[in-house]
Amino acid sequence: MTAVEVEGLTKHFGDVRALAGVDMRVPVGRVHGLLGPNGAGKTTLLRVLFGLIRPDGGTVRVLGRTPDKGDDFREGVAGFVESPSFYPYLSGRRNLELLAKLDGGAAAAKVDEVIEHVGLALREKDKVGGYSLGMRQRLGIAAALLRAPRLLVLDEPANGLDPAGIRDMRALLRGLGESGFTVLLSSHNMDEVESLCESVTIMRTGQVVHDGSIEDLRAQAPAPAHCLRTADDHQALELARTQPTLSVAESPDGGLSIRADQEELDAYTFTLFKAGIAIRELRLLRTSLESLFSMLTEAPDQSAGGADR
Amino acid sequence: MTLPSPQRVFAVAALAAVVLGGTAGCGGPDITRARLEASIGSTFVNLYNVGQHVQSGTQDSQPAGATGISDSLTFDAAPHCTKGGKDVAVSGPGADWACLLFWPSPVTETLVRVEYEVTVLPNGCYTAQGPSTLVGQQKVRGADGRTHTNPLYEFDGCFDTIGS
Amino acid sequence: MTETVRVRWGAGVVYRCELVKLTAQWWVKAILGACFVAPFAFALAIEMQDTEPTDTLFGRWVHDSGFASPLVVLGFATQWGFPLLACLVAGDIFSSEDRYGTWKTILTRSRGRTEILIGKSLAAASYSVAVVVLSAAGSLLSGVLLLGHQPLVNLSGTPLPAGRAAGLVALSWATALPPVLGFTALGLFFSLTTRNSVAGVLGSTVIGLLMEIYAFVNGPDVIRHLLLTTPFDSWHGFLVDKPFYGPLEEGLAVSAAYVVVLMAAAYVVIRRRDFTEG
Repeated sequence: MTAVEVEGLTKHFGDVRALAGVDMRVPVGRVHGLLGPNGAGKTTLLRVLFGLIRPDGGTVRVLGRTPDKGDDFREGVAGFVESPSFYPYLSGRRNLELLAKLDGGAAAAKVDEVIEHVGLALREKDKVGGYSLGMRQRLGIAAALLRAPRLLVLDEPANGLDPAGIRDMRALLRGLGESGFTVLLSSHNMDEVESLCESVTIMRTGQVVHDGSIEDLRAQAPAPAHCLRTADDHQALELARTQPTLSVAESPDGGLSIRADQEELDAYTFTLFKAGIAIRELRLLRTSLESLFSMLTEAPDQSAGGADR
Repeated sequence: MTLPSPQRVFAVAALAAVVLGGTAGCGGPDITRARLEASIGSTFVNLYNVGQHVQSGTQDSQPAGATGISDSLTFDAAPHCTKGGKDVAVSGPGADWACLLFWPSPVTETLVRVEYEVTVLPNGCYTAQGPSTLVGQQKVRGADGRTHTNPLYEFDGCFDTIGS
Repeated sequence: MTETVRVRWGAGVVYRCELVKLTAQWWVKAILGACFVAPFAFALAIEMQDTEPTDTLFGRWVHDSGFASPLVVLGFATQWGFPLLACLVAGDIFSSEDRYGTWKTILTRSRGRTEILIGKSLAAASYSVAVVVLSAAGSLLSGVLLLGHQPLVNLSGTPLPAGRAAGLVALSWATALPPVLGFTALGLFFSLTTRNSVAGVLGSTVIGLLMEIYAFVNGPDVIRHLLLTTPFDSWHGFLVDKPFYGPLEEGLAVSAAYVVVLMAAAYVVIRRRDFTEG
């Protein structure tokens, strides 16, 4: 079962190509990541899924429906694009009641429940104009849950939150994933996607560079990158050359940069120790998935399509 | 597909409005001498009667239009209007209209010619101002002892610019 | 409510939501309140002064009949007030969603774009009707209560008894409704296409003023008949001895044409728009 199926999706804004033939599949009952740097086309893609933007070409199927089939298209779909927005002159509760009225059906009876769920009960009577970004994000999730969605589409829900807020938001998302929701989570943070998602679509400049499980991604990932400073960097570099699997280079801002998995790194530090070279700093620069992400999204065009599937 | 620009949409809307409305507004000029003369004559006579009732004190208790009042004056000497001094088939709004109206002099009991200066607006409403030497000041003291508006000093009227 | 009823009255749901939003904003309530109260201030000012606003129809009669002042207020309101007042809400009702970034909030619920267009337009129209009704009630009440219910001398110089005068004053105010709804449609269209409340409100107000100014210059009569401000004068036909209704009929047709054309254009715009922001 697929919750979202996108094929060959294209969209131009004037001369700007926002989506250049995007393919994406979001399986049912999973938290699926949509990852890419700013300007990769994530937001445009999400807006197409909500029917806010009409694509130039390609097919979109959300929970089995296509957008040209009228306004029932969004049935069972909820969420927000960019940061959620509300009427600042109404209270949080009043905003939710208004949206519940727009939805009709059973939504109005769920207002209390969703306010409780996202932890806004104490501030529900305050005007949204006075809400912090984090509270608005939580209200956005509450507004989405009102619709009893089968698919939740969330755009950078942790954006602008402080560390505690990010932790709370991730716990909330993890809970949603575990209770069987299908969640499409847009993010520019590999770490967040890795900790929450089982599968991921990675975009750059309007194209998909990876669409599949996190496991597949890990298999392709290069070794993590580290920064190393020693008492004698020159000799440390010489020693590294004796270990052919190790990729070590002089870092432009001093010290050495090393690509190695944990086992190789252990062996190398042991070698340094035996050679009497003191280690002054050893620090993880990028995890292996982050390394892959920057390779996929920053490298010149050859990666586009090459890493696909 | 590209979005229609607001300008284009508005141009189409404006054009359609012109085409739709164009059928409604045909015919001759709105402001004609015949229309003005037809309106200002009867208005003047009616206001003369209002003025008489103010002076005689019957206005407050018995409005002139409500019941037939025996001493209401009718005199149907036709008014005669000119525009910019031209006594031809004139038309159009402006402040240069003048109308000769007739009213019964209380002294000689004959009809006296009064010339009113008339400003006609494009919408068919006009303001006529008479010579205060003849028609009196803006305010007059009524039979009830109170100050009243002198209806003949200056008066407004409107006529139909579409029908006959 | 059953499912089919809910879908069929989707625009009604949007309409009710919009009314909730409008009445929750203090400035909307303040305007409506002012529409009712301002005529009382006007009548009070007349009562305390000896001079009359003689440059407006019925202005010279304000001290002689309490039915003259509501017609003077109507003259002022139709010339300068209504185009602006009608567009304060209409010119903002779509662009406020751009300002608050809430298009996505309402468009990702269960209501379609057409339902939102109809619901919002009806809400703006309701507000405009409320503006006219409250101003009419305020003027008539303030005239009668503060200045009296003496007979009103009509535009043919004939005094009308109080009951008849009151009815004609109410009818006269009612003739303002069609062009006010035309201006409402203009405000709605500007609000939707410019996506900016200042442009939405001022754009339609400036057009109203230009139309009003045209009425003072000696331009071709045909154009004057097509303007949305001309129907505002159609009440003159009620207040003469031989009533004429041609301007009223023409005004209804012109106002309806503006509403139909502008709303059709708005429909095309909202159906085709890409909501890339807000």
